[in-house]
Order: sequence, then C-alpha cells, then structure tokens
Amino acid sequence: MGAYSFADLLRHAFRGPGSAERAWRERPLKDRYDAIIVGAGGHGLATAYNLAARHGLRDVLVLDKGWLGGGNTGRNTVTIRANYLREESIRFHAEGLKLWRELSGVLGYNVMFSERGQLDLIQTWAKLRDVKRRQSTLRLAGVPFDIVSPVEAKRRVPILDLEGDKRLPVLAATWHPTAGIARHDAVAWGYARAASALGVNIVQNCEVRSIARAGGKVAGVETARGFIAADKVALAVSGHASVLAATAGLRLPIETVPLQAFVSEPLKPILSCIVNSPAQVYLCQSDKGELVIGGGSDPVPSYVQRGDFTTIERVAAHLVELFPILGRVRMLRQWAGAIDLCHDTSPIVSKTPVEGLYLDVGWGSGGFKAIPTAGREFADLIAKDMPGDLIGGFALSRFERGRPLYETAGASNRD
Amino acid sequence: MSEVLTLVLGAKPGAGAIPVAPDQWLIAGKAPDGTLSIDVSDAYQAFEVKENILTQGIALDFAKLPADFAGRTRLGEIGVLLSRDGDTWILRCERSYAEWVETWLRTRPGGI
Amino acid sequence: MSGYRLKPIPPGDDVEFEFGGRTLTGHRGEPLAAALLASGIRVVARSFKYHRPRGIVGYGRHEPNAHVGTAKGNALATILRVEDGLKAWPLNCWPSVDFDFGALADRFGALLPAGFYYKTFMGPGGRFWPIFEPMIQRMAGIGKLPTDPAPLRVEKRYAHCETLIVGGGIAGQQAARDAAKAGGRVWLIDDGDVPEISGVTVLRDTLVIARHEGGLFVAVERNPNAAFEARTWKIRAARAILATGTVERPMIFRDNDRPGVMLLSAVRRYARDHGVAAGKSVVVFTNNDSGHRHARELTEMGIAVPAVIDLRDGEAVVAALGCPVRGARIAKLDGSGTRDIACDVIAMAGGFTPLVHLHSHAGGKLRYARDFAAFLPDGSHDGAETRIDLPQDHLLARWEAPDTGGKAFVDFGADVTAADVRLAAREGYDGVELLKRYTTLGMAPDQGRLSNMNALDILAREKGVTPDLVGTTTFRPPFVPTEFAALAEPTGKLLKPSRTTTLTAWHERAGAVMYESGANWRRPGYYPQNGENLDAACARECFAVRNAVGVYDSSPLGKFEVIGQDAGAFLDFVYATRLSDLAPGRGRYALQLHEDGRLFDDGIVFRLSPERYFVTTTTGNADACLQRFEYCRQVLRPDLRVHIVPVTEQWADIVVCGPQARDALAKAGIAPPRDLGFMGMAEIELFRRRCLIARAGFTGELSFEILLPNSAAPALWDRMIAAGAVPVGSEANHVLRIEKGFISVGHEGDGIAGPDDLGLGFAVHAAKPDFVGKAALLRDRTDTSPRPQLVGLLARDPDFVLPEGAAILRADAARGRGYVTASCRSGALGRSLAMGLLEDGRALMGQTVSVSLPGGDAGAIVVKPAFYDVSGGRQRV
Repeated sequence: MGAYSFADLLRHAFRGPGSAERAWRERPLKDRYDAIIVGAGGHGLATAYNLAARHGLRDVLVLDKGWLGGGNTGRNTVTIRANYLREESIRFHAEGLKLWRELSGVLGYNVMFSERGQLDLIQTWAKLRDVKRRQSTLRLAGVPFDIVSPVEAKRRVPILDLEGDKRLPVLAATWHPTAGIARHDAVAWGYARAASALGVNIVQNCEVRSIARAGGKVAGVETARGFIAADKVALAVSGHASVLAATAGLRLPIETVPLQAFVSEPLKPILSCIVNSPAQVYLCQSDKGELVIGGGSDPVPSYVQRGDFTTIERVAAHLVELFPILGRVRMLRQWAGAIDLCHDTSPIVSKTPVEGLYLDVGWGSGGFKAIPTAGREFADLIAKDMPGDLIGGFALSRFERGRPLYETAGASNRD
Repeated sequence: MSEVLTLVLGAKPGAGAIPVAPDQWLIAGKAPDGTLSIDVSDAYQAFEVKENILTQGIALDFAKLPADFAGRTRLGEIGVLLSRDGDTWILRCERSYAEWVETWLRTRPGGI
Repeated sequence: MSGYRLKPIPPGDDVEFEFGGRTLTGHRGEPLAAALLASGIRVVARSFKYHRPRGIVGYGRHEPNAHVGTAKGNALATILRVEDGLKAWPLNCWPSVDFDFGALADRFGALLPAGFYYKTFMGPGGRFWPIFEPMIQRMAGIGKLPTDPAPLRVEKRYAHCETLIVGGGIAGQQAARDAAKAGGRVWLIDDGDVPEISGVTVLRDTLVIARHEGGLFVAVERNPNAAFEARTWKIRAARAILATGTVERPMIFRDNDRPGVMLLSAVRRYARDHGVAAGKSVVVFTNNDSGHRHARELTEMGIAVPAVIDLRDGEAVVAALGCPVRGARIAKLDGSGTRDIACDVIAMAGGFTPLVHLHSHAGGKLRYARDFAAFLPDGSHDGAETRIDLPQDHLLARWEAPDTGGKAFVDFGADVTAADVRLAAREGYDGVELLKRYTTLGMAPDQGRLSNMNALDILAREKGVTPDLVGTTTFRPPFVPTEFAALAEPTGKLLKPSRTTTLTAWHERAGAVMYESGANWRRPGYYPQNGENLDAACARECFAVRNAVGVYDSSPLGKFEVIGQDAGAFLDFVYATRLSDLAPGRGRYALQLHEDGRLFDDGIVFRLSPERYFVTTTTGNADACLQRFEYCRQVLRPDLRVHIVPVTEQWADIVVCGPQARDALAKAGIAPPRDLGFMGMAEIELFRRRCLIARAGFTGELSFEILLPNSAAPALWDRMIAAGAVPVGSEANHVLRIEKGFISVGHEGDGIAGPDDLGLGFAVHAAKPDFVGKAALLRDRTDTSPRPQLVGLLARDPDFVLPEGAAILRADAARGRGYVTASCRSGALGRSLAMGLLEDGRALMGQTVSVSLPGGDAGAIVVKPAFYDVSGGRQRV
C-alpha cells in the first residue's frame, strides 16, 4: 500500500466504490505479541508505526476499547504549538513542529497540517510577565514568538474587539507564527494505515481490563477477548490511564477532568490563525468553516465525556466579550474529552518500576500536538528500554525525586 | 446597609444565624454572652433583593426554602450569604465584591 | 410558478419582504419558507460541498438546506418569520443562487468522494496543502458574520419544577394534564403555541436545547414581543417527560436533492398550517402507510397527487427529473417498467424517526425497535422518560431506490451520498463514529436529523448486519444551533468579579494607574503626578519610602484568625515554620509548602494571645490558603481544637513606611506602643474601634502595618496623606523589595523552587514532628542534580535593566540555566538590580553569566540576593 494520491481518486471515479481498498486491516488475534500498545489513538498508532518503521518491530498489537481515534484524538481542538514555558517542553514541541510539516508526506495521507500561527491575547499583567519569560526561552530554542501590540493583534484577527472599557482589556498579544492545526481524525487514520501496511495489527472494540504481571515483569494484558501475552506493554491512553496503571500496581499522580469543545455553524473564512485568551477561550476556523472553540477544563474531576453547563456559559462569555460579532453566531455542537492531568501539568513518557511496562500518559489538554514526537520517542523508549533526550524530563521518577515540571508559572501578582 | 455583624464560633447561637462554615455562624447584632465570637461588621455588604432578581443568577429552588432560610450559596463565581425577611431577601457579599454585586443587581431586568 | 396559495392572504396581513434582492409578498408571521414556496421561489440555497441548487425540504427545525443570511446572522428559512421589512438572502453562492460558480464542484463530483481531501492536495512530501487549503476554505463554510453589530438582548433565569414536559403535542399535553392532577409544579415547554392547561406553567416559543446530568434542562425562549431576544432558562426538574415527537425520514434516489423534493410531512404542514401548496402536482414516494394517509390529506386540501409510489408494491421513484423538479422517473425494483410522471414536487415519506436527542444528551442508552426501524430510549434515564408514539404503518425497512447513476443523497446538509457511505465502509471506516468523521455525515447544522438513520441502514447492509449492531453516533447538545450570546454568562463588566478595597475610590481619584492584580483585586500600580511616566512616578515613590515616608494600601493581603487551644499545634502542622513557640505580641515570617516540598505561600504570622493567632498570606493565594487550612483542620488533623476565620474582608491594611514613619503617625495622632519592636503586634484603639498595629513590612524600612476595620480605613488614609505620607503603588513596592532581596511568591515562587532554593531554609523547622511537605523535603535531599537557586544579578552595565523573564545562559550558551525573576532600576543604589533563579547559582557567586537578549547577550555578575541595608538595621530602628 503506497501513499494516497490523485490517481486513487481517478481510479475511484472510474471504477466506483467497488475499487476501494481498506485503509487498515484487522487480523485475527494471536495469543502472543512482541509488544502490545493499549490505545488506538494518535499516540498509540504513531508509536506502533514508529516501532515498525524505525525498529523493525512488526509483531505489534494495538488494542482499543472503542473505535480508532475515538478518545481525545478525535475530541480535541487541534492546536499544534511550541510556546511552552519549560525548556524540556519547548524542545519536545519544537521538534514536533518539524515533524508535523513532514507528516502528510511521510504517511502518504493528507493530515492537513496548516501552519497558520497562533495569537495569544494577554489580559493581565501577570500573564504579560509569564510571556516575557517564554519569549526569552523560546528564542533560545529557535521557536519564533513575538510580543505584539493590541493593534497588531487586531490586524491579524479582525473580529477582535478592542473598543470600550472592557473588564479584561487586551494589554498585548504574542504571535507564534509556526503554530498550526491539523485534521485530527486524519492523523489517527493516516498512522493506522501506515502501521497496518507494515504489519501492525489494530483491533478495535476490545477493551483491556487489566495488565498482567509475573513478579516484577509485565506478562501481557487481560482483554474482553481473553488474555494476550507480551513482553512489552505500552499504555498510550487518556481518561483512564490511572485506572489501568493501577491494575499493574502503579499509582499515578493523575487526576481526570472533562475538557469541553464547541463548534459553531460553518462560516465563510473569518479567522486565519489560532487565537487564544489563555485558560478562557481559544478558537480557530476549520477548513469546513466551523469555528472550533475550547476553554478551560471543567471545575470538577470526572470521567464523563460530556461537560458542565456553567463551563459552557463561561467560555461563551469570554468568546462574546472578545469577539462581540460572534454573539449572534450559533453554536452547533458541544462535547467533552476526559483529560488526564498530572499535578505539574506535564506528561509522563516513561519506563516504570514494572519491567516491560511503559507509559505515555497524562498529556492533559496538550496531547494532540505531541502525537508525531511522542510516537517516535515512545517507540524508541520501548525498543531500547532507554529514554531519549527529548523525553528525559517526562520520567515518572521525577515525582519521587522532587523534580516536578510545572508548566504553569506562579499565579499571583505584584502583591 | 451597614450593620453590626458577629461571627460566632463553635455552636449555633440560635434562630436566624447563617451557617458560613461547619463551625461558624454569622448573626446580625452583638455576640451572645458566653460565646466565642469575633466582630465582622466590616466584612460584608448587604442588599435587599426581590426573589425575581435572585432567580436570574442563583440556582436555589426558592419556593422550597423554609421561611427562616439562611445559608451560603453562589452568585456566579462568588460566594454569598442569603437570608429571608418576609417577601424580600437579604443578600450579603464580601465587602470587596460589593461593587460587582451591585452592578449585577442593577443590570438585571427588573433590578434595583 | 410552482407553489401557490390555497387561499389568499387576508387583507392587512400581507407584508412585503425581500429575498435575494427581490421584493415579495407574504403572510405576516408565517415562516419565510412558506412565503418563498407560495411565491414560486424554488432554489433558495446552494449545497455545502458541491454547490448544488437546493430548495426547501423540511419544516421548522428540521431543514437541512434553507440557510439564509440576514443582518442579524444566519437563520433557517423554515424558522425565520415574515415581518415588515424582512431582508434575507441565500448563502454559499456567487454570484447568485441561480448561477453559482461553485457548482463546478458538482461537475467533478466523481473526483470528490468521501474523504477525497485525505488522498490528495499533498504534492511532493505533503508540501502543497498550504496552496490548496485556502481554496477549499472559500468553497466550504456557509454563513457569514452578522452585519448588524447590535448585541443579542439576553435574559437568564433559573427555574425548578417537579415535572417538566418537553413538547406540547398531543402526548405532551396529556402528560401535563396527568402530572397536574398528581400535584407539584408542572411545566410544559414547547417551541410553538400551546393552549393553557390548568395547573401547568406553559412556556411557549421556547425550545429545550440540552439536558444535562441531574435533571438540568437548558431552554431558550424567543418571545418576539418581549424586551429580550432570547431568554435562557436553566431548569432543574425532579422528573421529566420528553414528548419531543418525530421527524420524517427521506427516501434515497438519484437527484433526491433537487429543489422540489420535500418531506411529505413538510408539504402537509405548509398546506395545513399556512395555506401554501408547495407545488401544483405532488408525487409521493413512500415505504409505509403514512404516505397514503397524508397523500389523501393533500388531495382533500385541493393539491393534486397524481401518484403514490410505494416501495412495498415493488416500485420506486428512481430519479427526480429536472432542476427544479418537473417530473419523477418511476421503475420497478428490478429496473424494468420505467415511466415518467410530470410533477413539481416529489414528497418523501420514509416513516418517522423519534427525536431522542434529549434522552441521549445526558447519557441515556437506546434500543433498536425493529417494527419501526428506529432507535428508541431504552427505558427512562436520570428521571427523564421519553414518550413518543410511533404509528403502526407497516413500514418496509427499505429507503433506497435502485441505483440509476448520478448522486443519491443521504445527508443533504453535509452533501453526503449513498455512494460515499458505501465507499467509507469499504475503506474500513465502518463503525458509525468513523463513518461520521470520514464522510462528515451528520455534522452539518441539522446534525443529521434527517440522514443518520438512512446512513446506518446502508452501513448495516454493507456489513451484512442489522442496524442495532451498528448503533448510532452520540447526540450532542444543543438540539438546534444556538447563539453564543444566549449561552454566555456573565458578560460585560461582570465577566469576572472585580474586587475593591475601601480605598480604591481614593486611588482612582488620585489618578493612580490601576492594575488587575491577583485574586481579582484592582489595585494601584503607581500614582503619576504632573504627567510623570511610570519610571518617574515609581522613582519618586521609592525615594519617599527610603528617605521620608510612604503609605501603601495592603488591604488585599490574605488575613486569617486562627483561634483555639490547639491553634499553635495546628499552625505548626500547616506551616513549615514553627509557630507554637511565638510569644504573644510577636510575629514570625513563615512558609507553607506544597505536599511535594515546593514553596506554596509565605507571610507573617502573629500571635495575639496564647490561643489566638493573626495569620497573613499572599493576596493571590488567600482563597487557596483557606481551603488548605480547612482541609488540614477537617481531614488531616480533626483531633486539633481550632477555628479558622478568614478576615481578609474585615480588615483594611495600611502600611506606613520610611524613616519618618513614626513622625507621620504622630502627626496623624497615632501613637504606637513604645515597646512595639520589629515583628511585634499590639492592639490599639483608633476611631473608637479595636485595631492592630504591627512592625512589619516589605520595604526594609521602619514600617508600621495598621490593620483596622474597613469602614475606618478612609479616615486613617486621609490623615496619613495629610501628615505628608506619599502614596505608594505596587510598582514602587516591587523595586523596594528587590533592593532588599525579599521574595515574592508570584515571581520567585516559580512552581518548582523549594524553600532552600530560595534561601529560605531558615524558616523551615525540620525538627518539628510533622508538617505539610516535610516528607518531600527530606526526600529531596537524596537528589543531587543541580537545583535552581535564588541569586542577585548585577548587570555589567549599571544603567541597563535586565528584562524580567530573560534566560540566563549556561557556559555552553546553548541552553538556559535559569532566568531573571525580577528586575528594576534602584534609585537608592543608583543602578539596575535583578534577582534570578539560577541552577547551582550559589556556587557561581562573583562570576559573570550571560543574560540572553534579542540584540546580543548582556553580562551580569552573580551576587547574593540582597542589595540595600543588608544587615537589616533600618527596619529594626
């Protein structure tokens, strides 16, 4: 199976749907694999692809309790950026921006990566201080990131309203030109197709109920379709990472909260970049014309993939304050994903005290953008049993060593 | 409205006391004898409000509340104290939020 | 002309309106769709992907095509009412709805099947997408932004009832009457008109858009005669009956999207409710009894129905002819017996799909009812019971006519054809959710209300299973597209609470530049005089504090009284600092740690009496501190007898600081106790109120902190100003504390640093048996990797102020090893000063490091983080 091209469309046009080839195949389940990946989302599939493509490890099984890409891969608001605070995060995500640019070509599947830039609106002095620090660290990492005036912000986002005596006036903005978006489902499908072509088996609707151990080593997984053995088991899940890890005797410092997203009715192009009012509301416009909108997470921990109405009200309020012209634009759909948050808001990409058990979890609201990099680095970790430089800071042991990686800076002000 | 308010610590001092914490009650007036209490007269701002206004921002089921209701609830993002006085309600907010609460009340349809 | 009025508009009820630049006449209050049909306007929109001409298909909320633009935003022609002066226009077409260049897409439709964009537009290495993307964006999208900037007028309201009935049809009205007999508050909500029912509160023109867990229903009321345009109700119902009815299911045949192909139920509603015949001649295509029943109704109303084609008889409409429709091609299911019937409407009657959205919104499950080929709620859910009566119409579970080429649409709104569904299934996107995402089925504004069931049917046939094994996608709120402004709360100035001190009005009168500060406080940054800029005002204010006297409004500071016989033991547990051995009348700088040993908060804790402490915290953390205190008290240490009383709101805090502070107080008539030493606190009486006065501050000068009941604060402030104290804002405070090397949790706290990193080891009393964070602190000592440490930084160029946030470089210059946390120009020292967190910084004292700057790095010397009056003599005088 090669890269998709215009020729596929021509063939289809002349021969009809009968000529269709399956994008990926589900093969019969064996009772043992070299490696099992739990979670057929972007992370799990990218990891499987990289195990096969980079390490020749093709006897790999990817299991999912639902459908492929049905977790946070298919529920997020598709922002891809590298404007983080800590150097560890910045270097990881800066690498990601490079990989995203190449991804459609690598997979032969158009994931529609669109480098359109991100504008962050700064509405408090504390945030302004935070972005000054980011600017300096980002510059060292070679990530373009500038502080710009409200007028420049308005030039980039004409629907932004700077008039009047606002409760939270726009004091400044930051411009991160290499940020972008991609078509989230296509990322999962593209990786699935490429991994499947290399021999990886992808099985949907087969829940992993627990992780089996033999002493200090991993033995396999108990699934809805029985026990499957493997020397290496890798978790690339969100929403229930801590529940699953607990079956192997690991207690993860993870809390699960719903994060909601919204889309508007489809509109002709009105917004050419991503615009973000940190922790309040962010939006971009999809190629279909819908505004894809997110905000802060729900106030109460929950595994429910729905969402709290007061959060909807709050996100809508910030949206309408910044962009009053969107007040009469209609919300079409609302949903939520269950995000796993470590208390330091950085992920865990790590070996564990259980030999052969690996974690790629706790990505909070930022997992989508990490897919290509995490897939590569996690595959390297599984294959070599040694973390690469880019994920060294995300080790589980950081909590034991007292070296948490807080992504949020101190919140208080000049008191 | 400015008034003498006392926070009584330990045991409930009697009818009309607003529970503000598991071990604390707010009363209008001076501390009853023998209670452990502190003066919080300057900590709250009180507003007289009609139920019709409160239902625009407070999620309580007012019809189900007893005639002598007094308790803590939320108005949007902030915590407030609410107590009943016949047909009107006394809404108390922490003093620093008074300007915000007053704006809220004033801009409700049918507001003060 | 095609559609017409069955009876004329009563005189006086006719109004003129404009559609797409044409002036037309309609019946006041009828849906725009009815007026357009009556005026013979058949093409009202262009489709989403192929830009095919589209007409009105449905009625009310159930319309996939007829999106129109107005000055106040986009609307459905089936909802928008005809009023005087109404102006609307078709969307998604250029130059006009009748001739649209975008329709070229339809010519190449065979090249644009489901998911076509995943397979092309990539170019070598995927680099061509940025070129194609803007073209696709312009072709897609439907609506435009409103041109009228007037905000939506919105009201919000909570309500409660024992029984909520959603839907005022026959089932809903009966349920309301029954519930009213049973008692309790009964509410009935309908998006149209409903008669009064005794004992029932009826909300008309109101649509329930969402059901959330716990019986929370969100409804939007649109009363054209009210002051609001939308009133959003948040209703808690103990029990709910969802009588939300059904929507008719379309049939699938070639060109079934041509203007003139409609739902039979819609044709019937326009005729019955608005006296509008959608066409002169209606061919009905059905698979069940309802097609015949409703066709008879049309005939009775005087509309010609030349044929009812019933799949059960082995015949189908295999194609719509003409665009707009001027005939129907009929054939047997084996393709034989083709004949054409002239008509201008083909009415589809494929049975009824129950509207189970509200049941599903909050997580209710569905079961497949084979008799009706429909998904119905599987019992009640979270107190909500669905009552939808489906007629027994002997439905044949088949909707698709034999394929005669061309496009047969499943989803009009999203432009998805039956062939798209099959292609997706064959490519492996054969679960409902994958199908939806790959084809975009059900993702148009109507959310697939008309299309989902037909798509499931095709998918099930492709997979060779029954529809119940395929399942449905999740129904997401809102039930209909709803304006963001109708959901937004709170808005405008109320967007976020804003907090004031009793002195805020004074600061504003004095022309202070006010900052949005921690915990929503609005506080003065600096007080410019005579056109001063920030630097000048700040320098003047600092000079006053160092050389004369300043006065600072510190009221937002977090303040607590901790009372009880175990107060000391409690504070010893919550703080890393020992506080149980404080003498009454004395205070101590104290730290709270996170459980993982990092700094959480700092402040001064005073002991007023053996069983009473006065605790101050940072402003930003005041609420978090209360939560922590109560968590420790109620959960971790319920054995301790202690009360925690937040008194931030009771006390104003006015800080009088500077070498002349004592004189200024004397001028203001305030005499602190003679023996009040540094870090002492005493009670005094001011304005006949009990007040507290402490020798503490953040500036390193002789400093008195006066805590007084809020109502007395303005009087004291005025006296201090009259006594010559210079008002000082947070900018000057920032400079003064850097000069002293005092940390600010918001700057140096950084989220990672521990107390030792910040040079605050002196305030950690590790010998105490236990305190929050102790275990982590002990553990941290086993980790030997470099830690960030607080240092002072002196730029090589004393006139250069290092930018806050700038990275400090390692020797190899490739990576940062720290950053500048705070920086200023110090008048007292006549040069710039900075503090920073630097890996192993204490080992670098006296050495030069590079601070990374855009225009070239700057050198800075690492020094101890204390610059002014290092011995601390001035604050102790």
